[in-house]
Amino acid sequence: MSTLQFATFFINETLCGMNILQIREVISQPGYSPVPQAPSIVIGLMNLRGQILTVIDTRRSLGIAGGYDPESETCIVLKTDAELESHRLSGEWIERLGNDAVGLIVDRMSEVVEIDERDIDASPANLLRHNAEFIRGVVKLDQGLVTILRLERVLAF
Amino acid sequence: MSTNGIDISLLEDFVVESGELLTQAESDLLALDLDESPVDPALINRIFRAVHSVKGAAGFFGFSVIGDLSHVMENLLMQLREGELTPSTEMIDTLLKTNDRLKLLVASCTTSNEEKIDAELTMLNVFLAPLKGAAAHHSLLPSTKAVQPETDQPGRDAQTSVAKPKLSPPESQQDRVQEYQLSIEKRAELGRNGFRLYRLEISGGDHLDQQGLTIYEFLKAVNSVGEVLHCSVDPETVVQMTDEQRAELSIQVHASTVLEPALAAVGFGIPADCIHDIPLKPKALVTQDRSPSPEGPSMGPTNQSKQRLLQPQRRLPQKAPSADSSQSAADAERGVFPLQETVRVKTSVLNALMETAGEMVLARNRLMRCLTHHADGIEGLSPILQQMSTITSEVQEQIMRTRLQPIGSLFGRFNRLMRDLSSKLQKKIKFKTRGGDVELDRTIIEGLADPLNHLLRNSCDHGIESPSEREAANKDQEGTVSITAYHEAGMVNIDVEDDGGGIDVEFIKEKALYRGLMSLEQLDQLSDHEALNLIQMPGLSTAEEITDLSGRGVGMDVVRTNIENLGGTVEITSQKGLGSKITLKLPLTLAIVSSLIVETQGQCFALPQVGLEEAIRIKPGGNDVIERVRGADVLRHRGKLLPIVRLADVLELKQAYIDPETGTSRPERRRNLSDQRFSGPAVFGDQPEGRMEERRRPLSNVQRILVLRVGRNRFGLMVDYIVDNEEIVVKPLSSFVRGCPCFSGVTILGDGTISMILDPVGIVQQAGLKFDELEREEQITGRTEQELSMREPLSIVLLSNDTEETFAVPLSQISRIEKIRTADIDRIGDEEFLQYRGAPLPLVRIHRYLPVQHPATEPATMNVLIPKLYHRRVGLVTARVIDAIETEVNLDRQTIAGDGLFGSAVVNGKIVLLLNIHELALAAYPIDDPASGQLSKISKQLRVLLAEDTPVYQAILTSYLEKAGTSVSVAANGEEAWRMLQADPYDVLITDLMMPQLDGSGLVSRIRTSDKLSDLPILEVISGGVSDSALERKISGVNASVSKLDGPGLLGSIVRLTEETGAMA
Repeated sequence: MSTLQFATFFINETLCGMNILQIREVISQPGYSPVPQAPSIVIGLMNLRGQILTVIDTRRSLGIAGGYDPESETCIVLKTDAELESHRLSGEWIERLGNDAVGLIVDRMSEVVEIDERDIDASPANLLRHNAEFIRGVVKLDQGLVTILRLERVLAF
Repeated sequence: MSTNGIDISLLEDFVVESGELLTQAESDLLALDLDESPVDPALINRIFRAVHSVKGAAGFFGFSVIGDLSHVMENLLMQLREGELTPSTEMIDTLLKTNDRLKLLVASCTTSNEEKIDAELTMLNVFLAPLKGAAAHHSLLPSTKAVQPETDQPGRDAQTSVAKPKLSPPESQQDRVQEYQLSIEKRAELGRNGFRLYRLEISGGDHLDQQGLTIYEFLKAVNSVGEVLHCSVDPETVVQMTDEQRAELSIQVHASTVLEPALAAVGFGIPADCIHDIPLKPKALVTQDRSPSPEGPSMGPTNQSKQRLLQPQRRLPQKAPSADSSQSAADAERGVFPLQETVRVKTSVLNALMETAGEMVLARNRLMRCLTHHADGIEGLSPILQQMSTITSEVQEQIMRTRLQPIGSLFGRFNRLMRDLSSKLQKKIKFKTRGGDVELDRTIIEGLADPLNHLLRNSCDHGIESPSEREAANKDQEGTVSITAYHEAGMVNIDVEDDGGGIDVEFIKEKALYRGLMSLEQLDQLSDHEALNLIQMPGLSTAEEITDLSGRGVGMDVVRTNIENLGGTVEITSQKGLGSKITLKLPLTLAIVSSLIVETQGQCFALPQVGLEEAIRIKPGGNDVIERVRGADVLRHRGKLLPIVRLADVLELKQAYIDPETGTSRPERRRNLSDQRFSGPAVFGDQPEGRMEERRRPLSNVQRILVLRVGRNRFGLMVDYIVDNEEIVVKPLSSFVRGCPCFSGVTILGDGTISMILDPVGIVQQAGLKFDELEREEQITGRTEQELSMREPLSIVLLSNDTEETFAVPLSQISRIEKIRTADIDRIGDEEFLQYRGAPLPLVRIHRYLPVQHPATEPATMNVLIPKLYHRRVGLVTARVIDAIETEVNLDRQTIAGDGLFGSAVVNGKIVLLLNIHELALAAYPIDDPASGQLSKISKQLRVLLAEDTPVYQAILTSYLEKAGTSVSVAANGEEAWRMLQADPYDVLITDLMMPQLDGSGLVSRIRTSDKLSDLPILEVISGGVSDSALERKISGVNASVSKLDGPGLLGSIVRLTEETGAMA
């Protein structure tokens, strides 16, 4: 099977996507506690049913100014390496992101799309051209251009 | 046989259980008293069984080297057991060495078959009695002598003499089998030692030839997991047979082993249906077997466990009477197995359980918060919630207890170390352990092994003097090193004590000066106690020379670091010439930490209470003022300069407020900025009512400072509010925030919000505090009072009955504080009881015996303080425990007085009543107080001189003594006491040890060497928190030692002493 499901979401009006397999769950209007002295990309910590989730300020990480709209902001909770082990064994392209529970804050969620891995075009999108290191590639869909993120870089601090 | 096809978990069990068996064998070997003749057969038996079990299991897995070594060791032990050999020190040493080697082999069992054990075999063979020694050396088959039947010798030795092959017809075999009967004694012995007896019926064709085995190989296989008792045919004959003959042949073998039938089949390498379990105690024999065994109490018989590979004999209580064992034997025959007392659980499972339980508590807290508002609306909700809450707490507590282990398992390891050390150092050292049943988290126990090892080595190496030195110093040639574990104030204390030469304080000071760690002026400021604790400083203690010259403290800083990592503290006390005591104070568990929740700039943080000494509240216009010294904030507090760190500054939290006009200075979605507002009751009761209101104006002028101790230094952490006390579950920091120096972890509070856990060490670093400069500043201003540092502060627990009064109890008088449900209190007549640890505990209410206010209502949960009383067991009921603090108490005995009270004092600006628990208990449950009764019989009034520098102890001791009818004079230091003794006659001297000018031991030696006073009875009083062993050891010249807070003990000692010296006349 060559098509994969990708979840898409907006960061500053740019439509971005990631393999849906990497997502554990999606939380709208998350509440989080700030951590003094933490790296700037850490917006805070969140209590996810007793587990501590480190919440990443994705805008900040990508170097995009501005805050989130409390009405639509969403936290994408990522799976840890341990949770993804079985998928990786089956040969899919999945990034190693460590074993900390991490969530990404995005402006708002969009739909889930089918993407053929072969359609991912490595040329950087002009909207994020200063951030080439964060981008794995772009895909042209009917809805427009989807920027596939390189999560490993987004989480680097 | 090989390990192929054997369940890996069985192998793990083998390693773990064999390790435990051999550890037990080691301590049993060490416990053998060679002076006793004959040596304790029960011990030898236990060692034998342990080694035998290891041998059996090793054979099962095909670990031949382990099998061989344990076999020869077993032979030696058997000869010891039979009394053929008498044990010698050398023999025990060899057995210990063999045991060590076996342990190593077991630990690396998969490669053990490649190891060489010739050296050990040779060593053991030296001791083996000559006759069997030769046999054991040549043959790996165990000698079957011990349980030989009266029929033909089936063993291999006998076979060599058989010249001609002898074909035995089946009939005659059958006859022989009938003949074969194990004597009753042997059966009983097998049963007692946990063996089983099997009859193996094999056929020469199916089980030997088709497997390619000779009869010898088969017997050897059986011997490797057990012992062949009898074989129906002569093995040599079988070898000589033709294949046809052999194919027809059926062979019966009787064998004993510890293995269960299913395992035995695997071990013997034959199908299970060929194995027949022969009951060791046929019903007809049971009565005969009841006769008491000469070897003492019998062990449980055959099968304790279906799961365990090895016999769990060591777990069985030895006290099982023999009548019971025949009962359980009968049970076993009916297929009823005794209940398993212990189960093995993986630590990772326990850890996961622990974590889940923590989360369950958090979820419970949230649910309670959520539903309490609806409790009135939904019928029956309240009791359900209440019940669920209680059950959740109980589950959590029980799970926590699964992680606790008795510390005795650790103490046991040191017997060997001490034996080796004393022989290596050629010193006579007696090693005592106490409190082995005190339980601690297993992580802590593991972490304690190294520090304790280190401390014991130090005690032996540098503490205890050589026998000749000891004799010269008028001490017993044999020194004593002891470890004592006990509970105090919710912590576990471990004392490592020796009665050796003590630590030379002057030398430590010299060294500190020489190393440039401290200036001469600084050193002069130090009390002896503080100077002693200098050896925990890295620069000082790692220096090689200090061990050679002064003799103490290599790597004490390492010990301290290790203990602090476990959340504990290290305290050193020493009397030159008399010995040293090192006290480790440790939390019960690491996973749950008692913390203070503090708030700064709207954010909540958890502060572990371990290093927290006190909380200070500073009001504008009050006595305490924060000053600036060299650009740093300091507070003059108790005569010292306390550096102040503002939490908001060190965390770089912005001084942000919501603008009351626009209300939009920054997005307020962050939960713990707003939702945290009303959580929890105020501990110190100083929060303004409407805190939301207060956030809209600048913070109030009241400042709250938490005094924290980091190593030797103290600093004050300034926060906006103290919100609550909470038991928190520590969770690790994610890699993203691990770099933040000020936090040691993160936790979820009861209301679900996340709170960072503050790390005082990191805060000191982050704030760049320079304690040295401050100390220098202190000396310049010269406001430290040396007198002050000599005084012993008193640790007290503050209590409240929800009335206007505050009560206090000396911490060292309390053994436990329990939270109870008020509904659990039973009333019988006027008296109240609590079911506590399986027995009713009489309860005492303060307001019933003291003229204080009665509480209007009772909360649903209360606290019961279990005091360390010396003559009775009671619980003191109080509504709330406010805090435990260490402070100097200026006790006022006049203003508020009465039975059950030491007096009153001002603590943190409030009047506190210091309770005398002993008198309260006596008032509540009068019994004859033996001491005061005797004292009243003394015709003349005793004149007592009390030498004690700390005012609160002066007051407490005087109160005891005066109430008992003696006349008391008080001296504030040794010199003063000496002058008073010269001037007036006294019947008895009661003296403290730590005093300014002339200390207790100086005073005592001056008295003992004087002509006039050398007969004066002297009683030494020791500050709170002493272990019994400290009381046992008294300084030379003193007639008795007693704890300062043990009133009855004090009076009893006085009576005894004055009787002895005839002062009563």
